[in-house]
Amino acid sequence: MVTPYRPTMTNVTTRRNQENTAFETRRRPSRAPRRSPRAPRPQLANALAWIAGIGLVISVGLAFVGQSIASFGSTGGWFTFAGRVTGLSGTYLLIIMVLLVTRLPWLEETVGQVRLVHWHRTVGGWPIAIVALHVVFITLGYAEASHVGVFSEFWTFIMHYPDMLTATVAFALMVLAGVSSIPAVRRMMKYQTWWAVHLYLYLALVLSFAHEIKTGVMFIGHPLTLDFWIALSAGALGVVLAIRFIRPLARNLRHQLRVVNVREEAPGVFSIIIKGRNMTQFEVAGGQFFQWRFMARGLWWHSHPYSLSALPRPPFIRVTVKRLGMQSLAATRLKPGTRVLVEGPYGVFTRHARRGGRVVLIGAGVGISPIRALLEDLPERTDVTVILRASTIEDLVHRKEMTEMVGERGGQLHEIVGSRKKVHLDGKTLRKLVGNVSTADIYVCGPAGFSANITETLLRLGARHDRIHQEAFAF
Amino acid sequence: MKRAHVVIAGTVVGLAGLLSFNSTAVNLSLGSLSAVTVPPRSTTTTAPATTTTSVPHSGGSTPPPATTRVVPTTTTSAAPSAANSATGTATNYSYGILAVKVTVSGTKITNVSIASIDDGGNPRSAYIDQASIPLLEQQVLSAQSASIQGVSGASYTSAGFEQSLQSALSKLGL
Repeated sequence: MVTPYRPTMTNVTTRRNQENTAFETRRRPSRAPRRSPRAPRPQLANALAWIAGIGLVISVGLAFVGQSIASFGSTGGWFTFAGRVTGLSGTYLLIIMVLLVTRLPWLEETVGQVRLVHWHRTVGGWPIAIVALHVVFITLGYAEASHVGVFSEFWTFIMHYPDMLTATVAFALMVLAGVSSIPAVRRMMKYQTWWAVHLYLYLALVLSFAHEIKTGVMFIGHPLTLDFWIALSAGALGVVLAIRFIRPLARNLRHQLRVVNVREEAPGVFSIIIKGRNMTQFEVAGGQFFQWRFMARGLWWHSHPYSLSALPRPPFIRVTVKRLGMQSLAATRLKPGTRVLVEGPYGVFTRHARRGGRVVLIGAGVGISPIRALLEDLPERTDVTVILRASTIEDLVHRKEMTEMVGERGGQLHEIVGSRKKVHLDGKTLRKLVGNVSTADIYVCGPAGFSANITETLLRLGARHDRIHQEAFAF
Repeated sequence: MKRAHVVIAGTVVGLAGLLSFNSTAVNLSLGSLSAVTVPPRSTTTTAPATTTTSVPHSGGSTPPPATTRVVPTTTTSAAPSAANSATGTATNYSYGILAVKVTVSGTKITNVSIASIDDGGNPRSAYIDQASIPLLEQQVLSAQSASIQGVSGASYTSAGFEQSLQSALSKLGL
């Protein structure tokens, strides 16, 4: 038996002001040009990968500059050489790790922010380990050559070599950031703490630059290699500044986004309407997300990824958020007029991922939000089947809008309601709902477990692996 | 984040302290080495080439300029004479360029010193040179020739030293 839902109005601003109704009633002008980010460019992404690989080979090759057969045989020769190889490759790979999550448009539009972050998390610790080896090997090598103990040699480094104390501090910061990112350790600390420690990696990279060019034997007296290393380092720094600071700043100055209204759509699910200037130039494809920074107390220092739950209706945009942790709780209590800063759009969960033919959209819980935006972005003649899954009928957010849009396109909408224990979206049910999926593009968005199960079922029903598109909901 | 101000302030203070620390570069004071027993006739007076290279250093500044110390020397004729000195050719020893000056009395090497050395400001080289060159000079005086053992861990410096010394001796006809 389903108890009727009585909305609680106490904490939520629900004044039906003009602006709120305006978003609902204002139709997106069908002929107005709408900015949408371009389709993925795999060749560009591949070219970048090649360049990264060649850069790594060159960097490791630098270790051979000034090296000869004889120097291998000299006292401490092998350790010193190993120290140089690890120093060069470790630093280069750290720069690559930074660039992976710098949100380079050329990469992001093809690979997708979610996958880039995943790679960064999986591989990110290894360059730090390589740099640790560099510290060990160089100290051993130099100590052997000078016939002193390692501690004495380390002391000599700090006291007599330029910028080595700075480099040591940089190394300590790297170790801290690396250790704090081990999952077991990360779980023990608050997200804020982990994030702050991680940010120090920027500082560590900048601090260690000086010792690289002042003590690196492959750079001193070798202008070509020095130029390469300076170009690499300065280039990486420039890219980070341009994309993480200057670009978002320019965009936010152009759009001046502010919250106008927050409304509870379903128990614990809120839609936030945001208004801005020059919104006809606001680029986004349905299904993409932004990193939102609400300039309110407790929220300003950290950005949250939320998908748009509808295409922009200038001057308005909308996100639909589920109240989960402390952060989203604060987000649902935003006051109208709060400034909003965005970075994005990100994500490859868009119509660009289609190959043509049928489209199946499957959304569960608040995963319905990007599905809703994606649906709106599909051309009118699309053969679309939409499946919405939720525990109760009230949890099906935006169902009226979706019903309308599916109706416009002559597609099918299925609402699967009920608790997980009572209702199973298994193979038989799915086949009845979607029919033959072997030539369809299927978009799935929902909690991780749900997405994994559905994907497995779809594959067994004959769907093609490269035509199932998923948006991971948290990273 | 409540502690943001403290963290940022702490970082700034820490950075200021860190960058104000100056390492003391290796002083490349290369005095000349004379043989202890000097025959009364020899009038060896080579001006000691004690020019120090202390590289003033502040964190984050540009690399120190390459330092070259040259001491004016006299090259003598080929015929061996009472007290004669010669400077060998400037030899590239892979980490820089050095030239050795040698003084002989008859056929006996009485003094050997570095006439000039330029290691491009490389602190590693400076450190190795500083440690090894006095040993090389000692070895030359003991062996009384350019065929010396060399210093392990300073093979390039040793090789360059030998080469320049040999060319100096050849100029003196030895």
